[in-house]
Amino acid sequence: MSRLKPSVFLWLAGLALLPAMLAGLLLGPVTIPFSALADGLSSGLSIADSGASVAPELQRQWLILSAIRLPRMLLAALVGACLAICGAAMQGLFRNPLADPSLIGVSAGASAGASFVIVFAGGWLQAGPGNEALGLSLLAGGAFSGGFIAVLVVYRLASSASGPLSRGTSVATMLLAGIAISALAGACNSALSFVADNEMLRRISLWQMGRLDGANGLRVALAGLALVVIVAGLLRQSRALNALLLGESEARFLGINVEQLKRRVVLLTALGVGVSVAVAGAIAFVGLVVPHIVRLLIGPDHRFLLPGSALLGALLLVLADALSRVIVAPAELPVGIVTALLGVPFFFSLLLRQRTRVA
Amino acid sequence: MSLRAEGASLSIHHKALLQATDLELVAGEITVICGPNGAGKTSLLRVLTGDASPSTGQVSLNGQTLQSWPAGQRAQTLAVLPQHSSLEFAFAVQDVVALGRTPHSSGYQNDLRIVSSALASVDGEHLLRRNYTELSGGEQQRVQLARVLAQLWEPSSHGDRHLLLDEPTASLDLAHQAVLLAALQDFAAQGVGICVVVHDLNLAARMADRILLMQDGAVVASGSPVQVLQVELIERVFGVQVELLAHPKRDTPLVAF
Repeated sequence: MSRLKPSVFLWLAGLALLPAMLAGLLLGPVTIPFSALADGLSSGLSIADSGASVAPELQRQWLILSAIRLPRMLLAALVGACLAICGAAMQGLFRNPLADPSLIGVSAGASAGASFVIVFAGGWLQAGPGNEALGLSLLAGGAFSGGFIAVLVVYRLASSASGPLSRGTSVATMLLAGIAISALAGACNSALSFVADNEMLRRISLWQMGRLDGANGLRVALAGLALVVIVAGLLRQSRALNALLLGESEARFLGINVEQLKRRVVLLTALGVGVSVAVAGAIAFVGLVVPHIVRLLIGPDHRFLLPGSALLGALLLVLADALSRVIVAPAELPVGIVTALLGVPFFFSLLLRQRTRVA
Repeated sequence: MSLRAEGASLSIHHKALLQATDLELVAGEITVICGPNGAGKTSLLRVLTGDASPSTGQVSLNGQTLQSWPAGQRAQTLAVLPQHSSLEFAFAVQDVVALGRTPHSSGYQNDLRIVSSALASVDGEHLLRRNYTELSGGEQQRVQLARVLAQLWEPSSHGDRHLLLDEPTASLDLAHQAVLLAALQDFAAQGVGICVVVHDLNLAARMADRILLMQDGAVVASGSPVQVLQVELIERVFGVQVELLAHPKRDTPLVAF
């Protein structure tokens, strides 16, 4: 097999992330020349600086950079990394390369959880200086609970349907369970929209569609915190996840505490998807496409697949977000639409290939 | 120091798959389990390996019940090759075999050496860098075999090693059955207790120190190949007429039908 050396790939992906982040900063309805960034930095402007001390043109550009583009680009990177590493771990857990948070209903469950919080705890979500952190944590908690229930139900269904003696989870059951969960979550969302007032409706509709334009320091901090927990937690399970790919019994024979492993992966992925949904809505297909590309390049070893997916996921979402701002400028597409447009054809080709392999 | 089942039985949904069975796998001995389909061979193996908890009785490994062993230490002395191992992910063959080293922390270089030795012992050293998912069924079977051999490659400080295999010869050609036989005998000579489920009675006679004949979830005969391979017994258990011939070079019988 001609594959990249995993360490080489990790370095390349890490290095490629830097120019992508730069593009994420500079591209948009207002294209900012690199010189503005360089001038701003060399004039000693800080992130919080309004730039009153410099020329008005540079001041305007610096404001866009620091107040809008920087948190948004960072949020894109963090959410992309989060979704991709969660997708990779979920595919390991399901022993199935088609598992993706959005396809198997985890994102939908998380959205429903978020809607639930918006409608029933709306009082705490009113804009206010002290309330934002509390509101966002409540939302994240709701999204986490919704995602957790969804992934648990789908896993139970998919692994029991394939019987105690067969290996892996059934793709058909997994996708069908995902449809059912998504439908249920959709119904919950509709019911909640029905009783919601205008302000709540506007908030709910934000979760249906992944978008990054609400980025601010608080969301970046929350996503960053979640990513640190997830990466640290999942990387420690990478050898166990490798063994699990052989099957649950085989992993047990190799000395893996399978129940504990499953519990941890379910918790960590639900956390990742829940926080991602809370800060950016449901962004589809990043968790499917990215790990697949990484596997093609360096193979399925989770010790490299997990960090590699995180890096490439960050890269992909930063670029997709920059694209979403440029394509129909001065308007912009929600980034969820861009990732779906990229991901759906990819998913179909995977599905076709898997069918021919079985046939 | 052995793997021992005492009165172990298994029922699932009130259906008795395995009646109370006593069995001891002794270090250095190859025990072969034979019997018709549905006789409880796999159930016995599942109980012995801890894959299923016995409904009654107990199973102990090196003097301690299976459940009381910490999972990682147990895996250093007990390796299992299930009937089917499906792996959908495109690992390189050497990575699949290296999974067998998961319970050990014996160092990367040492593991690498063990992986290639284990592959060589199943005639698979040329597969080292191939993609596992592109191998033939027989090649995959040999790679999985190398994986469990690698798991038990070195003596453990936690007691005698035991290797249990469920129909490892199912997709192997004659030459590779001979390779498997040699590898297992080599392991047994190092003091590993081995238990194999085999369908071919002649292969069983060739490899076994002891044959366990099963029918309807119970052991109906146990002993050396000469003791167990009796015409009446085989005809009763399998329901086919057979003849026993003398092997021209060995003192084990040949079963013809």
